[in-house]
Amino acid sequence: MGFDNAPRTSRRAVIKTLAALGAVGAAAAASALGVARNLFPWVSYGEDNRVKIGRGEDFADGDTVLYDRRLVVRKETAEDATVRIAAISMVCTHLGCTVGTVTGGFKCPCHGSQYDGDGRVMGGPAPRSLDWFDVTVDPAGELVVDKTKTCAVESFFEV
Amino acid sequence: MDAQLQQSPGMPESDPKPSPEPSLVRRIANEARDVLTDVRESLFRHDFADTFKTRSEIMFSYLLLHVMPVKVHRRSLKAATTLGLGVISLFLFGILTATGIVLMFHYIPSATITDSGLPEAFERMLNLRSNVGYGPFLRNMHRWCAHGMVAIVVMHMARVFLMGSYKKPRQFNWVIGMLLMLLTLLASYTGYLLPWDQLSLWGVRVGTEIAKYAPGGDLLRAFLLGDTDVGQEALLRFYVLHCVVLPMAIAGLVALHFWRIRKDGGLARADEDRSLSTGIPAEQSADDNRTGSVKSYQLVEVMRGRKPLVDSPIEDLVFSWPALILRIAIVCVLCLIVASIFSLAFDAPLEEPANPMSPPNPAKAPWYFLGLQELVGYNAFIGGILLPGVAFAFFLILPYIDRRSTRVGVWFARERWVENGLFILFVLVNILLIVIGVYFRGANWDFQLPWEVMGGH
Repeated sequence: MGFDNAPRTSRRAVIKTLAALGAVGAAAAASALGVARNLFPWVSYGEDNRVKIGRGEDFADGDTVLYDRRLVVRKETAEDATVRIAAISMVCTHLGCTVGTVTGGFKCPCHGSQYDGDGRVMGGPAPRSLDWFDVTVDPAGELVVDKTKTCAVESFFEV
Repeated sequence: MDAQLQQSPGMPESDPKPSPEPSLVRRIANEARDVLTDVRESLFRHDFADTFKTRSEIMFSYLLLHVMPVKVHRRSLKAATTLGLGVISLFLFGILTATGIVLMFHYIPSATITDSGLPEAFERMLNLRSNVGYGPFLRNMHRWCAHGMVAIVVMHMARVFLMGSYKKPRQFNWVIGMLLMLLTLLASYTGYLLPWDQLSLWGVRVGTEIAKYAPGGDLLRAFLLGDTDVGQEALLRFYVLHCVVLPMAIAGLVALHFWRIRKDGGLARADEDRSLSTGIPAEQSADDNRTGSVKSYQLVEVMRGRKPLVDSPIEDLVFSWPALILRIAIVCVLCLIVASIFSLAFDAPLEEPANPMSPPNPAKAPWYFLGLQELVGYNAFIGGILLPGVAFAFFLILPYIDRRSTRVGVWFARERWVENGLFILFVLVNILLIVIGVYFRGANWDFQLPWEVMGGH
């Protein structure tokens, strides 16, 4: 397979070719990166990760299911009348379906993950327990759940 | 003719008529005939006598027909060789393109909740159902042909495997075929998002959550959704992918797939076929062809192969026109009839409008993804990424792994019993998973026997 008769390629020609290819390649790569960046918007158009859910006194003791927020709000009132609130995510940690409430806990309709009443995994493919979110009170007295801040199971916040 | 007759010498000299110019009417008629001939000859670049020459010319003078060879092997024509699966796949893609374009005229990729309280895209489904002639039929055709295409493409792949036809020199065409299968699944997946019903929303939410478990999956998810969660941006992106990007990619790869079939020497057939079917020893038949001028009018094609094709018995090749074309037409018509009857009898599923708050219970994917859903039900990473990824990667590069020389183009070649056995086992496991997903999973994805509680959704 020797190419003995092939004309010899000069070093200059090789360098020229590589330089040309490099320039075109760099321009193409830069354009591609620009287009790629275009496909990832700077902002999110979706729902805010910090949601207001109303005032502490709006909730009865025990669990309140907020389907539209995909949250369970748990309220406990101690004997000294201190109120503690927790927000438990209803988003299955497996693949993001909304879990349903069943006696004694939660079950996911998509792949059968099971959680107990505190969101600990009892069965199914779920890799970890349901998220418990940070709850704060804003200056107007409204409860704010921050879905970007997850805490340990049974994290209650005094309000 | 009449004009010429009048000029004949036998006519009396005394006739005062001057040498006749053809009448105006006749000249116009002649001119018109010439124009028509021109038109015909420019459209049909062959004559219409039924000769071998015409048959060849028909095959190579039309864009679509010239994709196919002028002559094909008798064996490639037999229904049992290919079951027509490739043709059916392409034809279904054609139906999908046609019905899809019509459906696009009625569709708006909008998740906005309208005054009626329904998402706009979902409302367009209802519009299609009640306000548009043949709307339900077109949507049924589109949905069922999509399901059919998934099934047929998989069967096509199984056929090629069980015949060992992916072997040298057809390795790369197998790779293209695997990519086409992937694109078919993606087209299906992006398609069922569009009605924006419960299946759409939760299918896409789960699918893109699975992506998170893959390396680099977050980026892929962000690209698909255009946002942090499934919503308007995702609907728009899936719409563009479904209607433009994926069909164009499929069409391009299909063209490549077909072109490679020709360049790789037509459909695979066992090498020994060539000398066995004539009963003439190879060297003698080669000799015949070299000296015998009898066959010299036959067309010669340049094909790749291990042996020179002069060994091949020319009698086994038949003209594609009309044998092949007629068979393709019959397959397509049958396919259209089946699809139409099916679409008249069964309505395409449309679940409740998308509810971002809670999924249906159980939330089931279409049947072809239920095996995957079953696997994911055990473990998201292993079932959703690792096993499908490894299986796909394995089949993608299969021709470069399985390099053993065996007969090709033969169903269930005996020397391939291990390969075929393992493959059939693989297919059966997949079917089993799908059957479990379809019939044995009830509310909360609990295992149930199909006759215990039917439905629930």
